[in-house]
Amino acid sequence: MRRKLLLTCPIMLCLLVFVFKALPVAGTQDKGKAIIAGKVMFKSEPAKGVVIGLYDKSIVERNPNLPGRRVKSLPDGTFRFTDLPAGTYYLTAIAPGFVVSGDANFWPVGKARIVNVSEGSTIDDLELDLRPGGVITGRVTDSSGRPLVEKSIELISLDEKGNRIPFRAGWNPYLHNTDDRGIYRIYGLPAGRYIPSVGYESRPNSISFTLNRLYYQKTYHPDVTDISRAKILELKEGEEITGADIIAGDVKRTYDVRGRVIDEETGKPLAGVAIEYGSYDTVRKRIGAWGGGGERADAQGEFRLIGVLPGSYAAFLRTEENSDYISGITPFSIDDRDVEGIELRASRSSGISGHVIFEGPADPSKSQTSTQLSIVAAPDQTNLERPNIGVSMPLTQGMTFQLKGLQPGKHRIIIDNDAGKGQKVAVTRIERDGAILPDNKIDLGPQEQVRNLRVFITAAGGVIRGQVKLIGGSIPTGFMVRAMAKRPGETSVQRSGEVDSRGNFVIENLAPGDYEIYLTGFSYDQRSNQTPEARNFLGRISKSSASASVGYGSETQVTITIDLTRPEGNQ
Amino acid sequence: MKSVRAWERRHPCLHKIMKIVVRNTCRQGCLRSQALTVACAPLIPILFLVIVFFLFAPSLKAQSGGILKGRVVAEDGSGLPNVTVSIGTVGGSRSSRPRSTLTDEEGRFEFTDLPYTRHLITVMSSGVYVQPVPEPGMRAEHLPGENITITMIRGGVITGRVTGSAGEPIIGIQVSAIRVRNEDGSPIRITGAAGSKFTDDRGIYRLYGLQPGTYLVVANFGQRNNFTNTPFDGETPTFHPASTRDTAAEVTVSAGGEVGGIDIRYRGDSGHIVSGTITGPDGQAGGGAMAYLLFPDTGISAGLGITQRAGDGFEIQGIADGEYDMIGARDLFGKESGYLSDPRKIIVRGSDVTGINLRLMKLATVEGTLSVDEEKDSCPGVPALNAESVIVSSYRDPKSLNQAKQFFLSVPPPVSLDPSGRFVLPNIFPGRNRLHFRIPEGYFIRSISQAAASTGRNAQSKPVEKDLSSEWIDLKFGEKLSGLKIVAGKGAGTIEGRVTPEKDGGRLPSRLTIHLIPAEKEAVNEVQRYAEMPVRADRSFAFSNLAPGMYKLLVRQVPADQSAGWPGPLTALDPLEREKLRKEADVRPFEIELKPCQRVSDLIIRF
Repeated sequence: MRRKLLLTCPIMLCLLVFVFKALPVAGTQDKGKAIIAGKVMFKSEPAKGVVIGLYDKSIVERNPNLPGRRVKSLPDGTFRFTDLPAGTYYLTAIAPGFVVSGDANFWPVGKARIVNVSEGSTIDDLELDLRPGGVITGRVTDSSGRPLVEKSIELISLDEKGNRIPFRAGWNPYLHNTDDRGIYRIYGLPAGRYIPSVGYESRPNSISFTLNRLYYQKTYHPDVTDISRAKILELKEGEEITGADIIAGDVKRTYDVRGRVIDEETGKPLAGVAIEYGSYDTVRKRIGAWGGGGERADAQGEFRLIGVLPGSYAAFLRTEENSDYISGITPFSIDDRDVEGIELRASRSSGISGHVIFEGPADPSKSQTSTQLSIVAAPDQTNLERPNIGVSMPLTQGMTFQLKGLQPGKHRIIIDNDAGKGQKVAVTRIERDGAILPDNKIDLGPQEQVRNLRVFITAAGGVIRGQVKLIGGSIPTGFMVRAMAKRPGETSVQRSGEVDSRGNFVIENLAPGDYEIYLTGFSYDQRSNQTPEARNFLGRISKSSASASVGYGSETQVTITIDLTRPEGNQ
Repeated sequence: MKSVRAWERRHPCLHKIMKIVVRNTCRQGCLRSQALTVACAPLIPILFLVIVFFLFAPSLKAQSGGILKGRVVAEDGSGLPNVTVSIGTVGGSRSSRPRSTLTDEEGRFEFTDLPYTRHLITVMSSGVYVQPVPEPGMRAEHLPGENITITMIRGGVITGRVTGSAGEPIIGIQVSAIRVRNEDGSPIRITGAAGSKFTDDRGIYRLYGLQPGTYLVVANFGQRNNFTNTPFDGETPTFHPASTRDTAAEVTVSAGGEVGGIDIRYRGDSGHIVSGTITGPDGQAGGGAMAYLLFPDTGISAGLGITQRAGDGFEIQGIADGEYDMIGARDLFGKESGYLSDPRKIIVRGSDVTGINLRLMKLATVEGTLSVDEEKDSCPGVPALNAESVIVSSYRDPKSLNQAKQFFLSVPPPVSLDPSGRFVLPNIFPGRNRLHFRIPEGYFIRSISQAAASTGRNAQSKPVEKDLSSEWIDLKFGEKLSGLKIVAGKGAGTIEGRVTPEKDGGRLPSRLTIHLIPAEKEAVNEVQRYAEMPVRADRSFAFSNLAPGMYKLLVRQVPADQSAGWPGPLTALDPLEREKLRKEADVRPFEIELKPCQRVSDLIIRF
C-alpha cells in the first residue's frame, strides 16, 4: 500500500502540473499576443448586443470567405478581442440598417476602422459609433404605369457643391433592386443629398454591361433624363423618404457587334481567343473602363458581343496566361444599328521564361509547396492607348516559369504568395544574360521571347512599424494616409500600409535592405479631394519621408513628424 | 491465281464490283489484267466498307448547323421581351453558340449552329413570370428544327416579417423558401431553396416568382461554409413560425397568388460547428470536395462544407442540435466517374462535432453500344436514327440506397450517344440501377444485354448474352460494366388518351398512374414491353416509343406519400409487382392492339 502511494504521488503531481499549465489562467494571455478592445455607441449611449467583426487584413483580402473573429458587445457597449498576432486589422460593427463609423470602405469588409497592433500591445480605447440609417423608397414604372421588376437603382450622392459621387449602401445584393411590384427600398443610408435613378447611359470613360436587348434610358427621380433637372432628396439622419418614384423613360435597344479575329501573320481566322471591349475616348485616343461578356471567337474566328449601348468603344483580345496571342485595339462606334465587320488583328505575344532562385535563409520552396507562389508580370501603366493587363501563373515544382500573352513594353516582375500562408518572399533582383535589370523591370520588344530570365527572391519577413505625428492639425475627415516603402532609386512601391487613427502604420513582408518611406493621402468617397484643407494636407504629406533599414525577419521603428503649420511639412 | 479464284468464290459480289471498277478505270488504256485484280484484292473489303458506309449505313453520323427557334409568352399569349433564354445540350456532348440569348420585343429567340441532339431550354425568371415545371411524361427536350412556345406562368408571392424575441425587426437576414410539395400536393423528396431574399429595415421580406406549390419558409438558411458579413453567421436557421425543421409550418402558394403574414420569430440560437476531412480512396485529403449535411429523410440540405485546396478540411457553421446525414462527394459531373462516400449519421448535441472523416469511393461506370435492328423494318417511312439524338440515363432503386444518396437526384446527368452509337455513362451510384433511353419517335428499345464469357469448351462457341432488360443492374463502387448491347427496333407506336371518371360527373383522385402491360402470354416477362406514366393534371396521358403488340391498360391511384418523379423505378421490374399488375389488369380488362408505327389517340379509359 505504502509502495503504491510512493509510486502514485509523483505521477499525480506531474499530472496536476501539466493540467494547470495547460489551463488558461483568467486575466492573462499569451506573451506576445495583442488585444484590441473598445466600445460601441448608439446615439451617444452604449449599445449592447452589437456584433463586432475583426478581420486580419492580410488574410481577408486574399480570401474573403475566411471568417474573421466576432464578438457581441456587452450591456455596457464594450467589446474585446484577445490573443491577436501583431498585424493590421479591420474593425467594424456588423449592423445592417445602421450607419457605421469607420475610416473608409475596405473591400470586402465595408466601412471599418484600420487598427495596427504590435506584438503584445493593447489598444483598448477604440470607439465605434452607430447612427440611425435613413431610408429612401419608391416605385419604378414605365410610362404606361407598368412596374419595372428587378431593375437596379443607382443612388447618386451629391456633396455640398452638387458634385456627383456614386454611392452604394450595404452588402445586401438585392438592396438596390426593385421587387415584383416595382418597389425599391434602400436603407441604412447616412444623412445626405441623393437622387435615385434607373436605367443605363453612356458616359465618358465608363461602360455599362447590360447584356439586355432592351434597356431604359437613364432616368432620374422623378422622370427626367437630365440630371440637372432631377429632384434632390435631402435625407436627414434616420429619416424615411417615401414616394421617391421614378417613371422610366423610353425603352431603347442595344446592339450587337460582330467581328472576326485574324492571325496577322497567316491571315487565317483565329479561334478560341477571348474578346473584351471598353469605352474609347476618340479625342485623346485612350481606352477607359473595359470588360466583356466572356465571348470567345468560334472555329471561324468570329465573335459576337451582345447588348452593347450606343457609344464609342474599342475591342481587343483579352490577355490570358495560356494564350500566345495579343492584339491592339480596334475602335468602333454604335449609333442606332448593329455593327458588323470588326476585325481584330492578332499577333504573337511576347513571353518570358526562366527560373526563380532563392537566396538567404528559409527557402519557401522547402516550407510550402511552390504552387503557392506565383510569378506576375505587371505592365507599366504608361500606355493608356490600350488596357494594361498583367499575366501571372503559379511556379512549377522546380521553381521554373513560362509567361505568355505579354504585351510589348516594360513589365515589373513580382512573386506573389497566393494562399496567403507560409513564408512571404520578395524579388531582390532580376538578371537577363547576367545583367541586372533596374527596378526589377524587363522591357519586351514585339513578339520577343526572353529565355532564362533569373529572378532572385529572398525571405520577406521584415517589418517597418511606424508612426506619423501631425503637428498643428489632424487628418481631415474622410481621408486616409498610406505609408509606402520603396527602395532608394527605384520607382516601384514594394509594400505599403494604411495609417490608422492613432497615426500608427505597419509595412510588412519586406525583404532585407534599405527603404525610403513616403506618405500619400486619399479619400475613399472622393468628396473631399477638392477642398483647400484637403489640397494643403495632401501636398504636405507627399513631401514627407523617412529612411529605414530592414533585416531578415526584423522589425524597424520609424517616426515621421509633419508640422502642418510649416509650409514645407517636415522638411 | 489460285488465291484470286478462291477469293472469287468466297466474295462473288465484291468480285463483280471490282471487275466493274477495273473495267472502267481501264477505259483510258491502262493494263487490264488479273494482276491488277490481285493487287487490288486486299483493298476490296476496305473499299466495300467505305462504299457501304456512305450509301447504306444507318445514319449514325453527326450533324450540326441546326436551328431552334421559339417564343416566350405570358399566359395571355403576349410576347415577353428581354428575357434570358439558355440552351443546354442534354448529355453534354457538344455545345452550341451562343449558350444564352435574349428575347426580342415580341418574345422571340433563336439558337443557331446546333448539333442534332436533344437540347434543354431554360428561361430565367423575370421576377414575375416563371417557367412552369414540365409535367411528368412531357418531353422537356427539343431537337433542332423545332419552333417552340414557352408559356410562362405568374409566380407566387410569400411575404412576412422576421422579428426577434422582443418583437424587434431583424434586419438584413436572408429568408428562403424551400419547395416541398408540387402543386398537386405530391411531395418533393429532394429539394433546396427555391428563392431567397433579405429582410429590410422593418424586418419585412418578400419572396416572389415562386413556382406554385407548398413551401417551408426559413430565416438564415444558407450554405454555412462561408461568411457573408451578416450578424447572423454561426446561428441556426429558424423555420416559420418559430421552429426548427421538425415543426415547421407549410405554406401553399398558387400561380399568381400572394400569401402574406408568414412571419418568423427568429430564435438567434448559436449553432455548432461540424468539421472534418474528406479523403480519397488513397487516403489523401484532396481539394475541391464537398461535405453535405442533410436533414434526414427529407433531402433538405442543412449545410455544405467545401475543401478548397489539398490538405484543407471542411467546416460547417451554425448547425442546430439534431440528427443529420452527412455524405462527401467530388467530381460528380465530369466525363469520368467521380467519388462519393458512404453516408454517416451525425448527431449534434450541445457541442461542436469535429474530426469527421468522409472516405470517398469511386462511382461505377456503364458502357455500351446501341444498334438498330434493321431486319424487322416494318415502317420504311421512319427516318434513320441519329445516334446523337439518343440519350441514356440511370435511375436508382430507392430501396437499395440510403436516403442521403437520394439527395443527388441529378447524378448521373444523362449522356448522349456518340455518332457510332456508343455511350459511356459515369457516376452511377452503387446499388440497383436501371438504364433509361430517350429515343426519337418511331423507335423502341428491343433489348438490353451484355456479352458474357463463353461457357462452352468449344473454341467456336459464341459468348452467351445476358439479358439485362428485365432486371436491375446491380453495381458496386468502382465497377465498370462494359459491353452492353442495346438493340433498338423500328416501328414504335404511340398511345395517347385521357382518363375519365367511371361515372359521369364523378371525381377522379388527384394523382393517378397509368400502366401498359403486354397482353401476350409469351411476353409476360418482357419488362421492356411494360411502361408506366403519371396521368397529367388535365387527365391526359401519352406513351411513346412502344413496341408493336397487344397491350392492357391499367390505371392506379398513387399513394399520397409517394413523391412525384418520372421516370422512376419501373414497377414491373419486380416480379411480384409484375404479377400484381397483370392480375389487376385482368379484373378490369382494357386491351388495345398497337400496330407498327401506329398512333392511337383520343383513347378514353375510365377509372
